[in-house]
Amino acid sequence: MSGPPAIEVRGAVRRYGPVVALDGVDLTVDAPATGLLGRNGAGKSTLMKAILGLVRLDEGSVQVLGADTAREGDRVRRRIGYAPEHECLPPELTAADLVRHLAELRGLSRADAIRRASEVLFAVGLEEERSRVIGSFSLGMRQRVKLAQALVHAPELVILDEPTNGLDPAQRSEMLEVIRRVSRDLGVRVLISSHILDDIRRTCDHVVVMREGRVTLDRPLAARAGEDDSMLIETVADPAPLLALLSGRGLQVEAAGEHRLRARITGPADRAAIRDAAAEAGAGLRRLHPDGPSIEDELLEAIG
Amino acid sequence: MSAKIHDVRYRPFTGELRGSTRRAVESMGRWSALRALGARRPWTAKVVPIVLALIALGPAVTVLGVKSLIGGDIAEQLPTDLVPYAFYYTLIGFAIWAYAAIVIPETICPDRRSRVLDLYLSTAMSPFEYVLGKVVASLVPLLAVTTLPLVVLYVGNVFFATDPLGYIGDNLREIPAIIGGGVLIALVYTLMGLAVASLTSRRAFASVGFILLLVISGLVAGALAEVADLGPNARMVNLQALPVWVAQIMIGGEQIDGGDGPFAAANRPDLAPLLIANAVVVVVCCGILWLRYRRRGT
Repeated sequence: MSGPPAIEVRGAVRRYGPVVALDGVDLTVDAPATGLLGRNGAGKSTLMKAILGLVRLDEGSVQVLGADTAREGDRVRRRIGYAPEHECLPPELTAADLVRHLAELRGLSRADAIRRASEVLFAVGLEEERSRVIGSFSLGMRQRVKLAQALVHAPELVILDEPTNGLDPAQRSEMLEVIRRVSRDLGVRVLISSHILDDIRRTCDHVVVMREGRVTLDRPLAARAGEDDSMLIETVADPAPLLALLSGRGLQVEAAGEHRLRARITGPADRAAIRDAAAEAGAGLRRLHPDGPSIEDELLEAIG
Repeated sequence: MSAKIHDVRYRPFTGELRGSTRRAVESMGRWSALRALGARRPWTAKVVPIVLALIALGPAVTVLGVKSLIGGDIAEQLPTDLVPYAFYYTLIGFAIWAYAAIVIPETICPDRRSRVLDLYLSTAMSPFEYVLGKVVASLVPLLAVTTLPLVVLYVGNVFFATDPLGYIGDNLREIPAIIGGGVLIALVYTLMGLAVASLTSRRAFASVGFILLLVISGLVAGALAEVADLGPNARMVNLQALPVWVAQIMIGGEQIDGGDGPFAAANRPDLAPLLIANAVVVVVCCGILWLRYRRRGT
């Protein structure tokens, strides 16, 4: 992605009476898909509203696509799409009419609004149902309508607040697939908030964890270089023959307790070599896993 | 190696985004008005606005129908204005109130109930543009009840007059008065209706609230004038008649007694206090709308 970062938050503080919703948040978001993870009440929705310019900060600033949301809120909102967490769709309108209406409010001409409404409803998998009234839709379909209206004006950034809230497992899986497609195939940067770790893992490249109004973790979701280098090998039988075999094949291996070895690996080929050697030595490979906390462990600790 | 085809039929939009107040207000007004009038909704949603508009047009159509049926010499002997323009509001007052009570909440209450307002305000549209769009959505349909019937009557009277040009010449003053009076009535009731409707998300509550406001203000006005003996100017709190009186005076209805109802000339205050009272109602209603729709959280 070229140009300014999608979102830059500096020293953001927002208080609601005695409650500090944002407590000095510093953040830069520029990955194709970024997940905002945290428990309910962690400050995710307040941060999203601050990004949209709908909440005025007590301290700090938010820049979205290079524009200050406090001074240029209208300009910012014209360039981004937003799907709120709560139910916000008029039940008596058809999906096509609602998306068309919001397209017009976002500045598209009537002709463009009709065409774009059709395109985005197709993109989110609602082409067949576009002429049905929203009141007859399932929760999953309504979430897709929210996504469609957020995409209709071809925004550079889409903000999705808890888009899988209330969905059953099948609907949730479909929704996550659609969201992933938005960032990967449609080239729209996505900021998605959720309190479900798996949602973020399946849709995002980068994760920001919030707890009590603060950012407690900000990292890519892919393993960093060196992070998976050290692997723990757990065996059923005595691991000594396996240790000898792997050492003979040039891997750095050492004993790490009863039925345990620690190996330094450099890639998937080393994992395959360990698996094959364990079978060859008759060690009975019980488990092969990173030595140290996994990303999940790190995320769970940050969420609190 | 397998190929993967993505046909999402989605292209980046390269057209022009024309964000402007006029565009946002026009779009909001059009969509809201269509919804309030029952467009793309079951027939039951269309019946009430259509019936009330027909009731408002009824006297005009009846007068013109009588003129066309009897025709000839007898029609010549009929008074030019079977129903004087200023008296027309006395005939259709109920239709105007009912239209405002039923149609206006339909433009605004569902947005609160379905919480779609959050979605609207996440676009570049401001709360001011939203409210202005709702004013347009309420005002334009209401004009069909307050102005259109009198325009139809005027055009019909011209058509059936023995000397159409002479009729226009004699009644030229009525043209801006009919339009201005109709717009004033529609504007005051639009703002009153929106202000009441902004206080609730339930259409029924808004409709009942609007009607109660009219009825109670009429009772209070009567009590102030009669019991407290404060004279006609005390009737300025009568919201049933406040804008209608001004329209009647504009149209030249000083001599129309308006029957015994709320529009009776004997009950009518002077023009200047009436204008001030209407202005106060407009300001109060705008204040309520501002309080209800200023951007939250800022």
